[in-house]
Order: sequence, then C-alpha cells, then structure tokens
Amino acid sequence: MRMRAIKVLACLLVMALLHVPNQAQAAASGQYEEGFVVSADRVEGGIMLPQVVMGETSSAKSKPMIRFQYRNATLYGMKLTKVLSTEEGPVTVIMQAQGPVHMTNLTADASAFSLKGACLTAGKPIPDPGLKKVTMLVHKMEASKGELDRLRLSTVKGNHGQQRPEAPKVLQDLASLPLLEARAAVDKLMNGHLPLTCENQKENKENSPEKPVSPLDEAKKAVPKPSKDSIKKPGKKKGKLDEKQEKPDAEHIVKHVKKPLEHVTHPVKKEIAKVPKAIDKTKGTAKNEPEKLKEKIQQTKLQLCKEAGKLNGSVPKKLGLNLIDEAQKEKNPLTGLCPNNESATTQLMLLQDQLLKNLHLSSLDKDQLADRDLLKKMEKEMENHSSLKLLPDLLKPLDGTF
Amino acid sequence: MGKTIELKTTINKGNMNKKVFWKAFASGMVVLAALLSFMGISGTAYAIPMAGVGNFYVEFDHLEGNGYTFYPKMGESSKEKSAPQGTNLIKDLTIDHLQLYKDFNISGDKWIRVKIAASKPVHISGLQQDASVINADAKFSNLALKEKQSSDWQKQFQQMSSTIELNHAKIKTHYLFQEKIVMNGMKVTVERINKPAN
Repeated sequence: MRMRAIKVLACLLVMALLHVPNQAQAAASGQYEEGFVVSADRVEGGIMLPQVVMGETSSAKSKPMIRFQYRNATLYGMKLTKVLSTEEGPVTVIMQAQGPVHMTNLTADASAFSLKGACLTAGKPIPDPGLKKVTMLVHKMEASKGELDRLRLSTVKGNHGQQRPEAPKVLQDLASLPLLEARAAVDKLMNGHLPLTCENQKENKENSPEKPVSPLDEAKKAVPKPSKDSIKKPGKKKGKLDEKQEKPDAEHIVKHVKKPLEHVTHPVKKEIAKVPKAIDKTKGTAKNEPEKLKEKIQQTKLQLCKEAGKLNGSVPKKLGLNLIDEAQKEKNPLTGLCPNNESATTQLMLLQDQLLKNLHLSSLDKDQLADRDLLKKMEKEMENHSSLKLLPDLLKPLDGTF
Repeated sequence: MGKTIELKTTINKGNMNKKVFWKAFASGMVVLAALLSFMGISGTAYAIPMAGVGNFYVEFDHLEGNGYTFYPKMGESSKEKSAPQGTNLIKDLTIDHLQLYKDFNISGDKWIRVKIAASKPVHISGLQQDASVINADAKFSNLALKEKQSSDWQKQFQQMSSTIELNHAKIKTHYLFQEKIVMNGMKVTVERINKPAN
C-alpha cells in the first residue's frame, strides 16, 4: 500500500517536472509569435495619419505601437499570416487576396513595420503616401468596410509565417520604459510631431549640410589645378639659362612663368567679374517681389470676398477655412475681412455665429467679439478642449459644408 | 448528436472492389438519409450536424449573413484525427445556389459524387462551419482582426464582422452544424465523375 502511494507520488512529481518546461517553452514561443504579419506590395489611399498608441498583444496588456489610419485604402498583393503555438506544433492561419483589397476607415496597430515611400511623423497626416513593400507586425486591424477580391483563407500545419519586420527605434525605446513613463513619452511624441522613421536620414543631413553651390564654386571646379611642373619648369629653365646667359633678364623670366598660369587665372577672373552683375540682378528681382506678393494677396482676398458674397447661408468647408486663414493672416476679426462687400460681411457674420455656437462660445459679448485675437482664442480653445474630438473630422475630405 | 460513420477506402489495385464500393456508397446514403429525415417534408430542420464523412465541399454563388466570427482550431479530417481548421460562425444567413458534395473513390480510378443542391435560397440560423480552406470574393462590414492575451491558443486570434458577403465560394469543409435550416427546392444526385482535381 505504502509502495503504491510512493509510486503515485513519484509519477505525479515526474509529470509536474515535465509540465513546467513545456509551459515555459509554450510561453517563450508565444512571445515569439505575438501579432500577425500583414504584407502588401503596394498601398494606395487618401490621407494617412500615423499615431503612437499603447495597445494589447497576445502576451502583453500594453505595448507601444504605431497606429496607421486611412479613410480609404487599397492594398495590392495583400497577405496576412498568423502563427499559433499548439500542443501539436505550430499552426498558421493564412489570408491571401489575389485581387485588390479595399478598406474604408482602416486602422492598423503595428509594433513593428518596414515600408518604402514615406517618412512618418507622429500625429502628422500624410496625403496619399503611396507606400510600397509594406510589412507590418499588426496586433489589431479594423475597418468599417472591407472588400477582399479572390480571397483564400486557409489554416495549415507548420510555421508558414512571413518574415517579421523590425520595430523602429522609437518603439524599441518606448518599450524599454516603465508603463507610466512610456505613456508620458507617447504624449510628448504626439504633441511634438516627432519623426517616427527616417531619423538617420535627417541626422545625416544635419551633420553634413549641403552648401548651396555658387557660380564661383562651379567655376573653381572647372579650372584645372595649376600643375607643380609648370612652376618648377621655369626654375629648371633658369638653371639652364644661368649656364648659357650670365645675366638673365628678370622680366623675361616673369613673363615665362606667368604664361602657363594665364589659362588658370583668366577663367577665374572672368567668373569673379560676373558675380557683382548677378548680385545686382538678384537685388532688382528682390525689390519687385514684395510688390508682386502684395498684389497677389490682395487678389486672393478679393477673390475670397467675392466667393463669400455669393453664398447663401451654407459655407463650403474649404472656402470657410480659407476665409479664417486669411483673417488670421491679417490679424482681423472674421467679420472685418471684407469691409467693402456687404453681402460677404453678412455671410461671414453667419459663419462666425455658427462657429461660435459649435465651440460653445456664443456667450461672448460684443467687445470680446470685436477682439482682434478672437480667432486665435478660438483656436486655443479648440486645442485645449476639443482637439481629440476634432481630429477625426480633420481627416475628412474638405467637401462638406459648415 | 449526429451519427458518426467512418469511411475506409483501402482498395486492391487493378481489381474492382465491390465490397468497398457498396460500403462507401451505403455510407454516403446513410448520411444523406439522416440529413433528409432531419429536414422532413417542410424543408425545415433543426440542429443539423454534418460530420464523420471526412472533408466535403460547399459551393455557392452568393451568401449574405450577419454576426460573423472566425477562429482557428484543431479538428478531425478524413485523413487525420487532428488537423488544423478554422471555425466560421454566422448567426443568420441566406445562400443562393447552394451545393454540398462529397466524392468517393469506389475502385481504382472510378469515382462517384454525391451531391445535395438547392434551387431556391437557403436560410440558416446558428451556423458553425469548420473549414480548412475558403476561396471566395469576400465583403465585410465592421471588420476586426485582433489578437487577445490568452493562454488558450484558440482565443489568441479572431476575425469578426457585423456582416459578411461571399461570392463564388468554394469551401473545403470538415464539420457543419446548423441550429435551423430552411432548404426548399432540394435535389440529391449521385453521379459518376472523373478523378477530382482537389
């Protein structure tokens, strides 16, 4: 009886010992296989907004990731692979589309990626980046609509996963920080619109700035370097002369030395003479430019006022934003932008009322409304309170109306 | 629960093995009879499983459904006790021009196909389809592909969508279950075929 109990205990002990390494191995392999790899030969779409977020993976509740957002995106040559560790070995889910994949309101959270065609900056929208050879280690992908032509969804034995891309340096650094610090760093990245990729390129540019090439520099390059021989030769000749003539003519020697140098000095002199002329020309153009610019601005403003005058209560977004932009440039209240155009002023008053209502600022009195910095205040208000709410709206195309 | 039938297709080369043929044929018929008896005369049936016949193919022109979920799993196939598959759950769906078929090798290069086809739209509630391969033109709304922190590998990856639309689909299926199916205009055929390519 006692022997049987010992045997059972021994068996249990052996089983427990076998179980522990298996679990450790599974955990380790799970770590390796977190995320799913999405690749595409080409991605076309409208505006793309990269953001830094903290997201969930199969092994961690919170991990720094880049969120890629597209309003409309078309992926060509899309392939998704997810490798899973099972008790019977690895299993791969493969989703491959032979045709184009259209996604509306696409959001993909990736902890690592490689792509060609664009440099990413946190929180800065890129209009139609035209990405190529895209590979992402995605943890979550969402779309309000997805159309996948000639889709093949298969689940197969073995590890058929695609090559996993490397995490960009920003994400590697964020991952090494404690959670709270990482969150604060994410906020800083987003608010500062800091670069997420192409950091090295920027550094290289900063370290070795390319100097503007001046016509003089070009000329210097074109001029052949005076050869040492041409200077030495007269010396040698001088030696010979000493032998033949007892009193060598100094002027003759100088002429002899100067002659081979003339083809060097002549083009340089010519180029130097050109420089003052070029400066004069630039000065003249510079004098004319502000006048031309003023004319252009005046024309743009008149055009905007003319367009505003034609409106009937509904202001197209693009025109509305241009009007606000113009008023800000002039440091004028919106309603004072077109003082000579009555119908435009009426429409601008309507636009201002509507904007104030939308921003819950309609309680402002007349003095505050006349404040020249009203638009700046409105902008500040938007930044303080409504920036997050407004962000998705900014992604919308400018084809609606206020 | 459904009746489990095991098909053995061991054949002596060069000889027509009548015993094997009739066994395979009978197996197919038993499965079909079970399905038909479930459906009754009205064309409506409840809690229909289709399993134990190994893999079979589901083809259709068009499918529209609500509440779609996909996750990977290990399940039985015609060759292995445990093979990787994907579970597809759809709450409610309608299928146009549905065909389900299974090919049997009766002897040497002689093959027959047992096919169930519906000439009218098929309405299904509570579908579970375990498939290893899906080929189709697919459309989803509110699509989400995500991984989850879990010790269970089957819960680590999921695809979900509020609606699903599949066109020109061919699905290699291992298990099929419907809570309710309305299948009008149903036709069962047994035909001789050349060796299938798939």
